[in-house]
Amino acid sequence: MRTALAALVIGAALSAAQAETLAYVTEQGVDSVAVVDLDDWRVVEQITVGRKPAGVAVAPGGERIFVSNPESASVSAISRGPDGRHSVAAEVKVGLGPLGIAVDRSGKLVFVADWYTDDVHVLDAASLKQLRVLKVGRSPSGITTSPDNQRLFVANRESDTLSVIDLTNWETLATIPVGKAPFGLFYDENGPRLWVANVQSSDVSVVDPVGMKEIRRVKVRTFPYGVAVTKDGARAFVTNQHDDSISVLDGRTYETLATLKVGDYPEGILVAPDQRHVLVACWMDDVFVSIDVTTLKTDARLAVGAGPRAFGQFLAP
Amino acid sequence: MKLACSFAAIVALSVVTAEGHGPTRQKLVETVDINRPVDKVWTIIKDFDALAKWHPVIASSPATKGNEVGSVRTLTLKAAGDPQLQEELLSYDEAGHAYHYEMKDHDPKILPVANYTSWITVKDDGKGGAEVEWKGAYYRGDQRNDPAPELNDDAANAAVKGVYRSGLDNLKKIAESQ
Repeated sequence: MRTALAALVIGAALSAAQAETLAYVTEQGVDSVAVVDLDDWRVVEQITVGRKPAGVAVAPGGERIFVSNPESASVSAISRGPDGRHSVAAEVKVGLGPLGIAVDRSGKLVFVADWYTDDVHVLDAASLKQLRVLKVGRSPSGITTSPDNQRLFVANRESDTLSVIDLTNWETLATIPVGKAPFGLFYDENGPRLWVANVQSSDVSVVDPVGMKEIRRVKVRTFPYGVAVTKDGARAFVTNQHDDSISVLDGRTYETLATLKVGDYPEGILVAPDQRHVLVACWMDDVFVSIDVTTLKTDARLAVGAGPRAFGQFLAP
Repeated sequence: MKLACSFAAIVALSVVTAEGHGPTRQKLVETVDINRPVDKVWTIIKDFDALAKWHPVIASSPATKGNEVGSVRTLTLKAAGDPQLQEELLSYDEAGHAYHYEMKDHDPKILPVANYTSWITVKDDGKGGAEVEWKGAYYRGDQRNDPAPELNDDAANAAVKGVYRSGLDNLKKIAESQ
């Protein structure tokens, strides 16, 4: 009886904790991660991690959050308890310059791109032990997986390519030429299409992840950094770091529908699970911004710690 | 429960000691309060090619296309050998009294930075005066691991701070003497 009651209480707490949508915003200047409650639109916690955190990856289910700390060459694992509170479970050394980070779709593996050694480190998500090292192109940055968890995609910034790795046998299936200096990427199930922001050619490569070739190049503004697409594929949003703007693209025609000024140095960007808001971290202005997907107006701005980047899958659940 | 246990195990064995230096973008913001209205201060700095008129270490700063986006100004420094830098206008906001530019072809011997972009903005201080904000985003001169002292983060920050501080302080002097 007691056990059953305890289970019920824990179950209730767990569902309450999972009910709200949270954003994990790496605050590079202050060595922390801001936990933003999107419903209440406030920072509910600030978690100290390693030095100069940049990349972030929320595991499926939202109970674990992994953060790359380039300056301490480490990865921090944050645990979200049943009460909704967070704690840093571990910080382990990974390579020389960990930046891009992603969790596979099963939540079992963590991929960490090493800017300096041109590797992707594969870690066990539970123990953080290194399982293997994958050789990729130069200065790997953005990483993502296909929804069927069969393929890993890595943007190689200094090689102007995208590496495609088979997650069943760890073989490199293809190295796809894209624009100049690919950085952030987004897997869009409509198509499917992989959207890749090319920092130095001021455009976005649209890649067929199955056929493994670039199918389209779309011009945006200067220094595109990240891409986010609505679930229906109708709208794509691109952060243009040096233009201090967001390009809004029609997901069907690839036309630019609008260019939004929301803050200086917009970086990490994602569409909220409700599909009604786009969330952006603006590094220079130290703000986290919410844009209405329909009206394309900024509907809320939230002050966060210095140098927010939110590079990766920063939303839970 | 299993999850909690494995995390406890990690806590026990996680030790982070060795020093490393990843590529971290630096940010610097310097401001100056000027006891003159915004329009008056903006008039002094508004032209992209006007830097030499108010910055004490710049000898000349002609620009290719004035205040048009894409305009490139060539800065000649008041230093031995007349070193030069080029900067390109990225955005220009007349109403907001601001412009944003980037450096082209970085020379770490002149300014030890990389991927440098900068904003200058004149704001109303609400008391009839102006606050000029000059901010920069950049990487250190050598982005590889463990750079030499003259090319590390501290060197980049000190150099950019020197540029902003001397410029802003001189701008205040010029504006308030008018």
